[in-house]
Amino acid sequence: MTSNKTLRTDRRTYTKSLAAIGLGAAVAAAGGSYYYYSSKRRGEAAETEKPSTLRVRAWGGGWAEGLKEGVIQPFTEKYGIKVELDYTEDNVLQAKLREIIPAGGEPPVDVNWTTTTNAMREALWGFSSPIMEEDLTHLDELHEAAYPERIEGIEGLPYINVYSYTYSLAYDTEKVPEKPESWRILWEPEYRRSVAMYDDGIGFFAVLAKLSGAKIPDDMEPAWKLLRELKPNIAFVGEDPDLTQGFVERQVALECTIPTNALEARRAGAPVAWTVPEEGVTMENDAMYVPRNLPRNRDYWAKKFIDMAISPEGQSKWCEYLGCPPVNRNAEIPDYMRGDPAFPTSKEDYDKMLIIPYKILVEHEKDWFAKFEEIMG
Amino acid sequence: MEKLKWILIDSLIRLKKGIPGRLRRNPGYLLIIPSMISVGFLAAGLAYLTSYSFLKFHPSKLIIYELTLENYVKILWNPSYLGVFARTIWISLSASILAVALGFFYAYLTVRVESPLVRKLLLISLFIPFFSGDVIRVYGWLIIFGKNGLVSKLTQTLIGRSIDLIYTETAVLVGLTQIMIPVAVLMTAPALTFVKRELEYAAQNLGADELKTLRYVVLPLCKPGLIAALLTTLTLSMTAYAEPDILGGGKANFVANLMYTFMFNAADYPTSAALGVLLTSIISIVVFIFLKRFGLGTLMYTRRS
Amino acid sequence: MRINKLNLILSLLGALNLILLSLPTIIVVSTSFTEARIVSFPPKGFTFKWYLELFSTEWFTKTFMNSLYAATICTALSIPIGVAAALALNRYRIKGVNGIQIFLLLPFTVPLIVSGISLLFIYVRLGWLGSIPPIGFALMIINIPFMIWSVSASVNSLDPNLEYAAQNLGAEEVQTFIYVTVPSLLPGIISGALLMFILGLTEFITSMILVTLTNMTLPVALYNSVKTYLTPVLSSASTIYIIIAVLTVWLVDKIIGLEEYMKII
Repeated sequence: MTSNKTLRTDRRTYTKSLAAIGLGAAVAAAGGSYYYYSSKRRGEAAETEKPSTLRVRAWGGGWAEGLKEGVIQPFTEKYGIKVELDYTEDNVLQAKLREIIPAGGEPPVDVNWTTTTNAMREALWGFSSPIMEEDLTHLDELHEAAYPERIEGIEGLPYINVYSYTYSLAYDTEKVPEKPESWRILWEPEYRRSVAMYDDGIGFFAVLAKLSGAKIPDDMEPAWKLLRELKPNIAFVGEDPDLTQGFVERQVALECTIPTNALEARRAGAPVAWTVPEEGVTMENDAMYVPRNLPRNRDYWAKKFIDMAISPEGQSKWCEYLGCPPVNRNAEIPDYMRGDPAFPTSKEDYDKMLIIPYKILVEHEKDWFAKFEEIMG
Repeated sequence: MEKLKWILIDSLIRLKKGIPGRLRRNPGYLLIIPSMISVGFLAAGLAYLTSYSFLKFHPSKLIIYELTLENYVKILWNPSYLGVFARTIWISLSASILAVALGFFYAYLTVRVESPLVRKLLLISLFIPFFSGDVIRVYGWLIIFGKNGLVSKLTQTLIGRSIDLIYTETAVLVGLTQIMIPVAVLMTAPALTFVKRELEYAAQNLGADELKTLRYVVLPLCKPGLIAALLTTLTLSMTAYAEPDILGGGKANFVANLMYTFMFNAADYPTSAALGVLLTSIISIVVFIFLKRFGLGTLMYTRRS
Repeated sequence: MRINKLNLILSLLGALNLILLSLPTIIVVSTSFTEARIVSFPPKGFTFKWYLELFSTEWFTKTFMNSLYAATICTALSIPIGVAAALALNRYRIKGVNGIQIFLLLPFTVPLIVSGISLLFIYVRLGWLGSIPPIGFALMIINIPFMIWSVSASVNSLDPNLEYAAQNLGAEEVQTFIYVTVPSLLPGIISGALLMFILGLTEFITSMILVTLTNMTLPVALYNSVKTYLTPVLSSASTIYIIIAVLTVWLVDKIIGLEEYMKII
């Protein structure tokens, strides 16, 4: 059975179209290879020769904006080096680095801005290029919180914490008229499908443990039991932008999230506030480090970038935008952060925080993430 | 110009003469090599990944090179992971059946409608979403199902209560179905065109009404196309990632999402690989059952019409 | 059409399908014109500002070019490989053809994420990260079943008599192939090529795992943004894709005709 529906054409048009396709392909190939080779970075460079651009992994949205205004702009002004942002998810980049670095390849970014837990893990795997005292000029201005826990066998610092943040209780002021005193409000029946948090439960484990009496890390069962009871109240679980969006679209009433997202939602016009309930809030940090196997000059300038990120001017603007307390003692603390325990800036503030040591986090966090997602999804 | 053409052709002929006689008579073996090599890249990576599923995972050391089946056991004994498999299968099945059903009628309509304008319109409406890609359509559904979206506004006016479907299994089901409909149509349409109109007229002459004709004449003749459509949509749905991720909001995960979590969020390649092996096995079994029951020729590339 | 039960059902279902199919597209396009900063439907106001913002973002043009280049490579590679495979599978007898077919269906039965990671393993060891051509290659691999399928349809409806005739008239095998076989296969080749191009242009899951900053493709950049910034800029970027889809549909109609295309794939 043949239905010979051939082309509506004749032989001349056929040859003409063949030629056209061939020509088009040739042009495309030529243009493409020109484009490709001209954007390929090549060659050995002198140790301090400036690269034309530095690649920094970053989170998007407000995070990137803050970095651009606070750090990238002064950096480019001072050194003339442009900065390109890579929005690959930190976990995806981690997987790529896992394949690339041990194989001796060059990393796809010069500076990895990621969570401290990830930075610690990647450092333990030997992926970071050690930062020596000479590389950073502002090291001595930093709080102790900025210093990573020392790792044996690695000289220098594997990464630097660039700011802190808390996972506070954020809420829609119209849906929650009174400032909540305790985290227990999340379980209230009137907030069915009105609670949101991170899709891996980050920032919530210490709270669950405190409320349920569970012991980190040995006995987390009571915490998981308590989490199961929360499930009906969950509207969704997601990432930073989802949590911001949740407030902006007035979908959620309560969130366990960093004030940055609440701030962003407020900027978009939503009525949001946040508080530190009586049980306390978890504090964590984000870090920056330079992956190994970079050419010497990129490595040098990447560290200079980090230096700018921890400098007083860099920290002031950036942290204000992000709503995260700076780690540089000389940085300016924005007004709205002063006196608000959700933004720990002094030693007394730090002492009140629920802090889980990073070594424990590295060991157990993934299990907790998996358990959380298992219960939620 | 002509000279160039002949030079080219002559050189090709000389090349061809260089190929040993046996291969020349049956060039199939030679011709299949490029595609085998290409897919071979994928297969090689898959083999590597599969090997991970038999190793142990350690949170800080990553991989312990000890052979074990614990990953598989861990998954199979865990009700919530099994639940993800169940959800994947059940939503995929529903979406596929819906898509094939709707798609079949759409294809039938398109083939049978008399006005070429209407047919054009139907085809355009089919192809434009198909060509725009997954992300776009899922994004559209995200807006439709969202809190202030179309669905919520509609139900508000109709029932007086705004139901928002975002981040539910229903949203994933609808999104998935819509994405599968063009696939279903494209797979049933060729089979439909082979059903001659005369057959339908003949049936009607013998007294059957339209519906009976459809049921007893057209459908059986289209069976190969329908089977192919069902199998394709089923396979595509079971391996879906974007739809459950964006429309499900982390609460309606498919196996692919779970794999992503383990691979990237937990840095746990072994469990992720084990999940992958299980999923592929399930899909392969389904494909195998289809093949056994309905025969190779209906599904695969080789269509002896 | 006569008014009867069947036609009524058909029309209703047809309308339902139409709405279902077109709704997301219409929504996305309309929200790209909204004045408000958030994406919501119905849109408020009418403005082109999001498109302006889109074109002035550096990532859009760069990633768009990358996507075009990768999709072109994908298509260019798929044509010879797909035609060869289709001919091999349908015309000649190969031992173990069933096994080979299942093997070649691998890109289908394996989730795109898994494909991405599997290829990542290989690419890292080959040092193929950071440039576009390997991405095009990957796109081809994961979509090749479509090409083989499309060309197979043409191969099966090929009338061998044409080739016999040509050879009777004295044409050599190679000549027959170029002047008789290939033109008859052209419908399948073109349908398949267009499909490969579009699939290559819109693929994002596998690409997401394989790309780095230097060879970022547009769908990945878009996806990253959907997870980041839900602004109408995304709607305008999506609309660009819809416009490409419309152009492709027009192209398909002009070259082959939509009806034929539907029967061929």
